[in-house]
Amino acid sequence: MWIARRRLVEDLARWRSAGWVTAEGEAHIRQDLLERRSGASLPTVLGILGVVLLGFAAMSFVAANWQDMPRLVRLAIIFAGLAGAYAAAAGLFARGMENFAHAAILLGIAVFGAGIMLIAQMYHIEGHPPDAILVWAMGALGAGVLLRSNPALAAATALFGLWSGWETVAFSYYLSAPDNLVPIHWPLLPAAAALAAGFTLNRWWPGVHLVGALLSAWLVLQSHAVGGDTRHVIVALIGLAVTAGAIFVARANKTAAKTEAVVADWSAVLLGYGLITAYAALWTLQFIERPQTAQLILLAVLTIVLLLVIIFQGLSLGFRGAVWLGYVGFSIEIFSLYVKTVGSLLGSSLFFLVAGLIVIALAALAWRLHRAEGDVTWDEEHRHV
Amino acid sequence: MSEASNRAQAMTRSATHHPVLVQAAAVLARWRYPLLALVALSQAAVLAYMVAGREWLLDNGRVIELKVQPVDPRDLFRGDYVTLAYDISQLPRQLIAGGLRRGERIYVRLAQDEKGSWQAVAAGRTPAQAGSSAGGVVLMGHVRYAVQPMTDAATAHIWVAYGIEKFFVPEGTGREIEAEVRASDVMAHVAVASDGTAALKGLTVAGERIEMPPLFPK
Repeated sequence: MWIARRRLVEDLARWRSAGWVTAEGEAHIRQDLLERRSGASLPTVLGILGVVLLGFAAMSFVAANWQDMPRLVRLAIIFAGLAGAYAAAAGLFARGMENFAHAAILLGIAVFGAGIMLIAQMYHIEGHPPDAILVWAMGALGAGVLLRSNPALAAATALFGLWSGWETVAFSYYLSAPDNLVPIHWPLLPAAAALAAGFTLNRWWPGVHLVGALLSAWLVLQSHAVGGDTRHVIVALIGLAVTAGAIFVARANKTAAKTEAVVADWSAVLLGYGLITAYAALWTLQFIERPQTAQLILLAVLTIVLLLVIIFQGLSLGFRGAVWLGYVGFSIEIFSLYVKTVGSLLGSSLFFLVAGLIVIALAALAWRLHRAEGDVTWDEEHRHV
Repeated sequence: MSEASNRAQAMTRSATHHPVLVQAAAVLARWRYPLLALVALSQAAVLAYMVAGREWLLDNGRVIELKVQPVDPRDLFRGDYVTLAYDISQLPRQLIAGGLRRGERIYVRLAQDEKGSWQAVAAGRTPAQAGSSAGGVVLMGHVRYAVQPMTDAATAHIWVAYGIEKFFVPEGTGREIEAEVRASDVMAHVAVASDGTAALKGLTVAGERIEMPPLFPK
């Protein structure tokens, strides 16, 4: 990344002397390059790893529960660590060492978490452990948004996921309610919105994907927690609805007079998360829930059709990610079907039937692929007008 | 660079260069150092608030003595804390009607019997349902496990956690305390706030009181 940037700066000077780029244009491009955040470099990675080690040092310090040290002194060490980490961040920002400054913020968040644990230990608080995680996550979210720190927001995403998962899995079962229902853990949604807003403000695209992954995992987990036979069907339908909506929007956008790149890209992303969610539910229905053979065949055919539709749509819309997700899902589906059915009397026959369908589908795919190439070229030209 | 990452960058740029976002980012950048101080102070304030709340509760809460039950020895000592169970950790199921879910907050009213030991006499989903006006001490707890209400009433129980079930000990000393808990009578000194929050003040093990020294020695 860094080398590519330096190369670009050298090229810029050459392009300007050749008269391809105006002096003003060069200044703008240089400014834009400066504004863009640099990618991970070796020193940054080492800095983050060092901070992770220091964070674990703080937590081990708490775990040791060293009674020889008065509690006031232990508390003072935590407060000093907090002040030190954020002061170091300020110093590093002042020197222009942005990445190291963000590592220091991450350390501050780790010390904050260690402080919560220390206080719980000092006062023998057992309480409700997810509450402590929630306080920690809020601290990380606040730091991430206010200080525009992506590592802090990523830590907050992980902590909110831990919090919601813990609440859902360990504490929310209606163990003695006759209807055996679990309340959906809605409070994750505002947290996810805040995280996505923070990442958007920082213009850090992988972070938004992280929130998407968090939401997909949340949705699938809710379906496992909620009782009743319809749970996976509901998740599959939600995933399918998101996928279908994304395809509809993408097609409408493509055929519109003016194609919006933003709409195309967002619908590509939504299509991907919708497909992952729908497939996770369909996979569970087929391979975890022990359906009857007829149901399994029906579900498998539906799944394969869905994946083929996604691959075709991905090709014609130029969504490379959707095509790859389709291929991966297809491979997992076929392998799972093989493992599930092999060895049974019906198994081999079902497997070869499916294999036959795959070959035919691949043939159709190859034919579409050939035709779709024209589409993609048209799409690219259209987009740059 | 691949087409996908080009596309992602183009998207990020067009979606995130909205004037409001740009302005918000500029404001945050301009106030970076005060905001750093604000984050540090807020996190420190959260920790200080937790400490102050507990100190206040230990100083001002009503103190009751609860008998510690012998616990399954496998569960007693785990890592750096001793697990404690009380007579009031298991309540008769019929104290609360209807379904209960794990983690649900309930209130349990305790009253002293003729021997002076505290027993659970009522429970409910609010302090009023537990009969807080009838005197005694109301403790807030969370349901750990509860059986179906229709199960045989005599043997059915609700298992409740009050947040006073862990006593943290220095690393490596848990085994000694475990042996003492099994060998002798152990009493827990619990401070209770008016909202039912309970805090473990200390233990009396074999007549010897184990208590934390105050944070600020007087």
